[in-house]
Amino acid sequence: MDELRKFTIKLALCFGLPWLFLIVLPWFWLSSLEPVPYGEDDEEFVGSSYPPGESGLHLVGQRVFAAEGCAYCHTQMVRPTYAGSDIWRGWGGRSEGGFARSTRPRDYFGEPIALLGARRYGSDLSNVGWRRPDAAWLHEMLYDPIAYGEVTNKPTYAHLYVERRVESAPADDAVRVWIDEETGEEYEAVPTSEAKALVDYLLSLKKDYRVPVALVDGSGS
Amino acid sequence: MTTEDNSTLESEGMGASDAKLRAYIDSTTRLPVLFFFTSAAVWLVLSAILGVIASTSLKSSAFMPIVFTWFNETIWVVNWVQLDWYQLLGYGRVYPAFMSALIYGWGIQAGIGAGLWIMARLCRVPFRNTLTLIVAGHLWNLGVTMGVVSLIFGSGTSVPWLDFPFFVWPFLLAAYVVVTVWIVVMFRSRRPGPVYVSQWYLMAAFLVFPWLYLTANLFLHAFDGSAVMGAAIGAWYSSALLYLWFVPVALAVAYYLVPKILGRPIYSNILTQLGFWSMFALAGWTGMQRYLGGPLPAWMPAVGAAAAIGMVLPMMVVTANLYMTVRSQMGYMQYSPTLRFTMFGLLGLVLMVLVGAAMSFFDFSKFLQFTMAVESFEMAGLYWFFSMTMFAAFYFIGPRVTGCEWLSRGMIRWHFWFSAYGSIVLVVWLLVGGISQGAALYAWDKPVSVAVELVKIHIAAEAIAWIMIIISNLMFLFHTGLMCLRLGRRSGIEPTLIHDLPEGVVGPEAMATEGASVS
Repeated sequence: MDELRKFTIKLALCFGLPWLFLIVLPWFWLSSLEPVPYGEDDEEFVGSSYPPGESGLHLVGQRVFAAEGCAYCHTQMVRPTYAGSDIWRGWGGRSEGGFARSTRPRDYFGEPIALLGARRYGSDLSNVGWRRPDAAWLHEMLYDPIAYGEVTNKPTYAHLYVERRVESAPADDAVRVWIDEETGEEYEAVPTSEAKALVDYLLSLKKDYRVPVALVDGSGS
Repeated sequence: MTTEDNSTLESEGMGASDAKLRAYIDSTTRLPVLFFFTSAAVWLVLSAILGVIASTSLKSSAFMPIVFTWFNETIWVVNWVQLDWYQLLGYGRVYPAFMSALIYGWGIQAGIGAGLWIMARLCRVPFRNTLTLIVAGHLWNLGVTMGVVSLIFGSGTSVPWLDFPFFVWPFLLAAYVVVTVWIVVMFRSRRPGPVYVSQWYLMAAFLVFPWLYLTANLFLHAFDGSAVMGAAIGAWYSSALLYLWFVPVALAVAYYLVPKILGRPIYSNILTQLGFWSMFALAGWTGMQRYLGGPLPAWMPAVGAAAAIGMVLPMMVVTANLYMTVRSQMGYMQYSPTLRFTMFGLLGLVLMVLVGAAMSFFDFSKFLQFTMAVESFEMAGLYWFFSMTMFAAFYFIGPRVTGCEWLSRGMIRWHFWFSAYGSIVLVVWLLVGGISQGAALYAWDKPVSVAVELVKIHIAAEAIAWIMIIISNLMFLFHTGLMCLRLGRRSGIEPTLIHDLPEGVVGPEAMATEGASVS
């Protein structure tokens, strides 16, 4: 056997093993996961399943989230207490009722790719829908984060809003209304459909569904 | 596999026919190699500029509005098309554009250029049909340009290192496969004789990339499956690209240049083999430790963490091997630009693998995960190690393919110091910043804003480092441009050294004799 062939086989083994066992097989396995119905131990949840059928996730909003690179500053992954302080920070979900927990594979059902994130220059968003259930606040933070007065490195996303002169009365969804000093005319900033989709998406981020008892001690998935 | 050192090539015959063959090979490689080198150098400057913009736009201080207003008022075209700079140059768009330009524009093209040339030299075969390679090079640049522009205009995927929208990858893959075919064809038609370790590193890197890139893109863009696996595959891809492409290509260059410059064999054949195979056996398992504690079956990040810690062994073996080769002649780093850049780059390799291993322990990942330390790790690999080694290759290969010598030792010297300063600030400061940012994030009784506030100063340092790197690489680009236009010092004289060798001291064989003038 010539040297090149021998080398290629060895190399293919070196790379092929992780390729098969770390990527391809787990991909088939994790892609075949199904929602788990709650069992008798789960008491009031019996009859529904985890995660609930309709994820309610706004995919258009997620596309905006990805395109604006939000995942470069915001993670969507809650680590268990042995691996970080995320849960103690209150990122793990509703504070009452013992819902707070680390994230699991089924929490991301319905998403094309889980945007787990790269860095935390801002806070974790896994459960921002619980933590900040206020669309107006989210719009404000997107439109003009500095003026809002919080310590932040957040860039402005004002391009997701249309600034226009008020015709008769300000729109209901106007993020801000102001009067131009030179002309004395009234202006308003209203969200575009992209901004609305993004905020809907953020509001839908709730990854603290009760995990069925049967799963808790099980495979960890 | 045989892993004879490269220096035997030199000692085997310095005869006239051998020199003629080398000069002939160099002349056939001129166009493609210079094409890849110069377009890589342009992308490097562009990416460094994007890097500065990324770090300043994150601070959203008073600085950017001034720049944007200036742009709009002074450049009439800009004013005319009414671009929204906040939209186009926000952190979330510029940062991925910057990383993609650095990885695909600069890194891979520089590696291809150096790889092609070294392969041709070591196989001792001239290039045939160079036009195809040039076409592939254009295709690659087209792909990267489309990708970077569409990132700026908002169609990124937010998967680190795979940000390009779905339509870009077929271009890149097609261009790359052509290069791979060339490398394999050259290797198969090599002249009889020993096969060097540099050739094996290059073969491995060039063969693995299409497999890796195709896998990642198919799973992300073509198949519909598990969402968390998409994220895991992204993490695996970036780690594998680093350890199975950037590291091997740069090591191929180092293993070629060090013996060549010093005219002596590599220190240990056994270490060479050990370093080679242990690296390739482990590297494919790394990557998922990025999501340690994440929503994946726990064994997957654990395997990644174990492999990332294991990578310390091959990297230390390789570094020790190269260091022992140079040890008795460390002094020549003062004179030879190639040797200086290579050995400085190796420090980056050591730092990278140590930071990477540290981040794989729960005790450290608690603090370092999702902080600037990740950037520190990436920059240690991509800039400090890989880029510095590529500069070494440029300084060695440039004179041989253009037939003239580097014009100015001052520019080489400044290029080195600005780049060295830039990489040290980037890597060390980002690591320190990552530790303090991580500690602030971990302290759950304090608000997140503490960590946010703390990040600002480190980001400013990052911007300064990138400005240094821009300055250094503008000089380098200018210098390379002069070489391409053949405006360097005419050949027939000794190679450009950083400092003159002292009276009476004769440099190592290759440093003194093998200039561009062999013809």
